[in-house]
Amino acid sequence: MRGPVLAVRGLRTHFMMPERTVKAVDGITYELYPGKTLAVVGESGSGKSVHALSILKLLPMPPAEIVSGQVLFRGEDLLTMPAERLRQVRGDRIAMIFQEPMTSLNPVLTIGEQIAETVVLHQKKSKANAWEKAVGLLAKVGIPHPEERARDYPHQFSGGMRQRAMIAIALSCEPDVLIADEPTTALDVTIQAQILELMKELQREYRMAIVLITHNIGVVAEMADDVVVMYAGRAVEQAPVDALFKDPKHPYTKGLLESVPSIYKRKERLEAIKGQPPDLTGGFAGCPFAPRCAVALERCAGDDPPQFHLEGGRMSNCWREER
Amino acid sequence: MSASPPILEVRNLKKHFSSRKSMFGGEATVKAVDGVSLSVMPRESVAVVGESGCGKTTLGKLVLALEKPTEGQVFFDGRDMAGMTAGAVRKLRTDMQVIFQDPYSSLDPRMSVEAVITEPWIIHGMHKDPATRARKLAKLLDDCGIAKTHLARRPHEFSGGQRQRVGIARALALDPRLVVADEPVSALDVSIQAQILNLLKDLQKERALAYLFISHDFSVVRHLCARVAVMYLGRIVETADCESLFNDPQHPYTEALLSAVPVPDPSVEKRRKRILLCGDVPSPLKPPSGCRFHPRCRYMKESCRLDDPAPTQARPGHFAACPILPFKEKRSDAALVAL
Ligand SMILES: Nc1ncnc2c1ncn2[C@@H]1O[C@H](COP(=O)(O)OP(=O)(O)OP(=O)(O)O)[C@@H](O)[C@H]1O
Ligand SMILES: Nc1ncnc2c1ncn2[C@@H]1O[C@H](COP(=O)(O)OP(=O)(O)OP(=O)(O)O)[C@@H](O)[C@H]1O
Ligand SMILES: [Mg+2]
Ligand SMILES: [Mg+2]
Repeated sequence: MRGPVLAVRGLRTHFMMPERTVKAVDGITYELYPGKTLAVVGESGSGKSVHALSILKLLPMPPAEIVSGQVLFRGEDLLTMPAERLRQVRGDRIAMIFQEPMTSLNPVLTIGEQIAETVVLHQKKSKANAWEKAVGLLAKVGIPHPEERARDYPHQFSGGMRQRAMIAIALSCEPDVLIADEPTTALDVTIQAQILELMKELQREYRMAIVLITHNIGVVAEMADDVVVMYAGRAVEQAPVDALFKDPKHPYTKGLLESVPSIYKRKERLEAIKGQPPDLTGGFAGCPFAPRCAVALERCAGDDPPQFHLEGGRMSNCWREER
Repeated sequence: MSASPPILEVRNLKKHFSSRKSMFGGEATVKAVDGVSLSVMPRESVAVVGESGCGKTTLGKLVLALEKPTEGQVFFDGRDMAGMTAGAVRKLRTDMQVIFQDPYSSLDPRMSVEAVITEPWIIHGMHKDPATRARKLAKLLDDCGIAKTHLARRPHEFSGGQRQRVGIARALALDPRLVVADEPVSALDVSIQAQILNLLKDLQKERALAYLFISHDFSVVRHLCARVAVMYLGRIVETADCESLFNDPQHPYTEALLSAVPVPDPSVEKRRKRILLCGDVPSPLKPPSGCRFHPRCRYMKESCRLDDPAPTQARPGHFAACPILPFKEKRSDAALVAL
């Protein structure tokens, strides 16, 4: 199949609170192809996790409401598909891993049992076969002595090993799409490097497509083919990774790239973005970034910019691209 | 040679915690800090970097006299802190201040911003004259980028970055000469982190501060600090000027640690080879024999299992505790792309 394995179209997810509406995700569109990695990057509260949870309808509704949009998995809309069918796709064709693996692992089951359980559930294997497969998966994700370690409980694993176990569970059904929400944020850099390397290796092997959610610009540079930059619930810029770093279009992306110190280049000063992150409750008259933008035009404060589609499959949500 | 003594010097400092949670019933000892020597000159910024659990925070607490060392000494301005009178320690508390990682939990939620910042003056009986006090406060707010209109607010009404500014203002209220900063920007978003890093840099210049800067983030360290100490399992394995360390790391652990840091540039990421360390950081309850890094080291020789290496000088001011240092030229596959 040549088409995208996952296509998100105009996704908007709002939280309907008693006195206010939080527009957590307010317009995300992208396509993800087999074997590719799409990074979703943005600062805390920009809507990265809510976007991921919306894809699999894992949010509490209410208060969450998917106000509009489609999430097409191989052409089928996950948002409107019957619950039974969605359950099949979830965990079978699309798997998800989270930042803190401890909260998503069951503390009273051994690691091996948890992996075997998903194997039985999705691949209809016998218990003995499933256990064998679980041990094999632990070996695959680089756990030493997998036969013994499969009998361990989650608290006996280190943070890096737990994340490996989560990946083993996610891989147990050889998914087409892996959604990884900050999979390495809680880990030390040496362990992060191991996990990212593992994800790349497994991606090559299974031609898995990955949605990688992160706030770490370095991780984006290392892993991504394409990037969606989020700010205040919106995609403010989208581009292939090289183009984005070489020639960022949106002033927020520029600011973000200039803000990060690098171990290779010592800058005298960092070009910090001024001001504070936005409050999502009020809604915005114009561009949500306008109050912090160093190059804002007169219209930016009151006029909501559309998405401008540019050469090279790029998009920038900024009035400066109007021609 | 300048004759000024280091503002801070620690000698063979150790902190061992006994924990009763050993699997075998007996007492186990965590050697959180296990023989650290380090000095900070006036106006110098020295970083302590290392992975989680290597003992950075414990070292910071020992320096601040918030923990009592099991062994070793801390000298402030050339004086051994252990032998100081209560009065001298109180005076020292004004010279040495701390900034914590978590601006959320380190500020009292019931106090206004003004109360938080000026409390140290009350404790130490300083700036009692209202005019002086107002002038000092205005300068502090201005330096730290806090709006005067925010003085009556409480810390929880602020974002993380604003709270960290308040934490910094409080630390600087007493005009310290040394600031111990434990992961001061780790909890902040990148755009806010950049603001705070710039602020810390400016303040250092303007107020002639020395920093002991504790961090796990090499990029941040490179930006802010002049000298670096790399910690592994309670020990310092390498110290050097920032440039020397980043351009030519000597210890295999530093080399691997640096190569693990993702570079925010896809063209570099595609070209470079990286060193993957196998395994996790060993438990500090049972540190490996010999060189503590040997189970994860790709240059390991038999002797590394037994011999605990002492720091040797690779070039002036650049020390590493690795006996295979002289063989460094022979390490074939340079892991970092030269830029
Ligand atoms: N259950 C909820 N009820 C109300 N608001 C919510 C809920 N979950 C998330 N939000 C809000 O939605 C917005 C987006 O949150 P989200 O968790 O997606 O951010 P994020 O980009 O993942 O941030 P982080 O980097 O901190 O994980 C935030 O303003 C958050 O407060
Ligand atoms: N009060 C204590 N009692 C027992 N063990 C302790 C105590 N404080 C710290 N430790 C242990 O000492 C070691 C070093 O801890 P420390 O907090 O100094 O590490 P760190 O380098 O600051 O780590 P992080 O980057 O996670 O903050 C750890 O193994 C920790 O569990
Ligand atoms: Mg999130
Ligand atoms: Mg610490």
